[in-house]
Amino acid sequence: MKKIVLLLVGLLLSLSTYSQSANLSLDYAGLINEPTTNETTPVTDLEIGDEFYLDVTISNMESNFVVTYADIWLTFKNDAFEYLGVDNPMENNSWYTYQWPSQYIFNTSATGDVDDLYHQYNYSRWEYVGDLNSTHAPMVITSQSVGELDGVVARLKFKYKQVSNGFNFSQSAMLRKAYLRDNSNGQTYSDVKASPNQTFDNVPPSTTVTAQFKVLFPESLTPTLFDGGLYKLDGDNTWVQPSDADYSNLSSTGTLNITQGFNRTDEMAVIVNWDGYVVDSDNGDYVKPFEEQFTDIVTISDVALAFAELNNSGINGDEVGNEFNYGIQFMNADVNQDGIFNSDDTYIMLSYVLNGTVGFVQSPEAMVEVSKFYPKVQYDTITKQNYSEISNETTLLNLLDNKNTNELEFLYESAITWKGDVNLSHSTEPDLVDATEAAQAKQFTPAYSKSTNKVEREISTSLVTELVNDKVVVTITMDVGSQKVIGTQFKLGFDMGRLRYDDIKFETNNTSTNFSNLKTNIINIGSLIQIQDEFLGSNTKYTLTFTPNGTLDNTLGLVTLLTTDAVNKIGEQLKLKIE
Amino acid sequence: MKKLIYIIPLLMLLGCTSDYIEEPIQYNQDIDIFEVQSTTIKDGDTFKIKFDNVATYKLSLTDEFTNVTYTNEKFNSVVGENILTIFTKAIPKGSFIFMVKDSDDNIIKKTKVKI
Repeated sequence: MKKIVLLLVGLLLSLSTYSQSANLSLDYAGLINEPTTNETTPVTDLEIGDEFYLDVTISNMESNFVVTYADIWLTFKNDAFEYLGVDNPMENNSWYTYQWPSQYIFNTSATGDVDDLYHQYNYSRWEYVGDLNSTHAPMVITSQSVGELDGVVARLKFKYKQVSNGFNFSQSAMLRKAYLRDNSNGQTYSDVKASPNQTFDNVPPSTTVTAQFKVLFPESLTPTLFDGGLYKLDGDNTWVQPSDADYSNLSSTGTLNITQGFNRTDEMAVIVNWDGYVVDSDNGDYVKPFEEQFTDIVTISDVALAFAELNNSGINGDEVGNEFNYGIQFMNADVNQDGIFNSDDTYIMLSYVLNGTVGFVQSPEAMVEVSKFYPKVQYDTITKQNYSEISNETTLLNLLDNKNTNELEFLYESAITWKGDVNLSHSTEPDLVDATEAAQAKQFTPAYSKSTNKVEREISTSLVTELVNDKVVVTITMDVGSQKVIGTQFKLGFDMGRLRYDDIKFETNNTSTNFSNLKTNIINIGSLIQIQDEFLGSNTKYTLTFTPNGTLDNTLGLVTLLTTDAVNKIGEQLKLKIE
Repeated sequence: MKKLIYIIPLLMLLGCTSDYIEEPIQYNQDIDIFEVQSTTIKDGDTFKIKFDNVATYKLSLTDEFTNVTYTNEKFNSVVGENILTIFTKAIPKGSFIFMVKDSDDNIIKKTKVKI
């Protein structure tokens, strides 16, 4: 029995010999050059560009042995940090250090804990995966000292690099494995734990900057039909997307989260463009061409209002702004963009409506030819007096004011408007800063969608189809009520697989300019009167004739009224109630 | 173990059966379209309307939500069954009130159709 007890004691003693314990810790220890002596900048105040210390501390748990040799392995995310080397706080000691490129990953041994640095030293392994698949750069510090390595034994120096918002700073520096030894006594520390801190995970506040972009769409536009993304100006003066920035459809409220890739140093902008992608779960998704959208934006109401502004120049013919209420209306009416709104512009606009839109809007990239964006704060300062000083270029770009380094939450609001959208029916409504201008403008809002007296501004219309002598005859009539109508526009769709369009007969006021144009299966028709005190009455009638491609017994659904527009003598857009 | 031998083939059989997918109710062309409350129709469907007299009527398709009438057809009825066709390619998808109106625009028949 005594022998057994002695054997056990001997075994325990021998085991204790092989489990010398020490802890290793990685601790933030202030800026390398503190602005105030004897003060340590809090870790939460660390910012991009700062150079700082991470101290390596050895806590020897043994009284009989001292650490004289240390081989400590770490990793750090070299996308976020620049390693500046190691300082030695102890006398008579020096550190060997080396770092490798971030082409490896550290495969932790599953048979031991992550913080068991000695176990990992023996059983983990590095695996080459290439730069794309690794964000961690390995590094080592090794010291063989004549004295004891205890307390803060090494001061690692790092510098924060510029990173994009949302960068993952977890485990951005981490103790991976370690080997400690008492060379004088020939003892290896077989119990080396990472404690209390194995990793450094601080997130600089500036990298948590958020940025939100919003286009203030009017109700008449569907925000999800537009897409966009964050861009920055590169060295070649070209707008490029930051590597991790998104490009996606705008939300139903017109917002776009631009936090990813956003920073406060580069020149930045958001590009918004037409997407037109319509999700249709019943019949399959499709793309709505920009041209189709644009024909709703510039209509007979815009043309009539533009003519009204030109014609109503006062008794001496030298007044402006009797019909337009906002400076942006003059800018939109200047469709040839020569800096002057005049009859040249009105006739170009009229040709849009009479002949269909010109070639540029048929291109998939057509929006840039007609869209304009302004920061909302600037948009609201555009008046009838100062509009000529403001750029009237069409663009997809929304330049961002992003250089305020004290700001953490950026919110950009952008107004959208269009070349030719004189009545602002599809533009952000200005909220004028100038009180006098604002008071005048609010007296009259031209676009029907923004009017308050909606019922008063409604007239009724009807489309009836019938078979007459084997032809499909379509009759459009209207009841103008008390309105003095000077312009109408109807967009009809027809089943081009079953019908062929023949012609149209106009029964309108003799002084009206009538128009019709056909684009695939859409017919655009209407009238405009430019002579004072002449109007389109309730006897106005449009009769269209189609030839069926085969035998028909009836016509239900073959021709439909898609959109309508009408305008009265004072340039107010009217709503056509379709019956 | 024996039980498992029975259960596993049963599970396999069940796994191989196709999922049940509910089909939308299509219009039965043998009944008067106005005798049902709501119908799904597609391009070229024919439907039946019964009239007691010969007259000129108007068939209207009005959007259920916006109240916009997309199209009207004027047609002359015959006594008894009238077989008509609906063409949907030029009509936007949606839910519509399908109405028959007399010459004074009074609604005499009404139902809902989905296109």
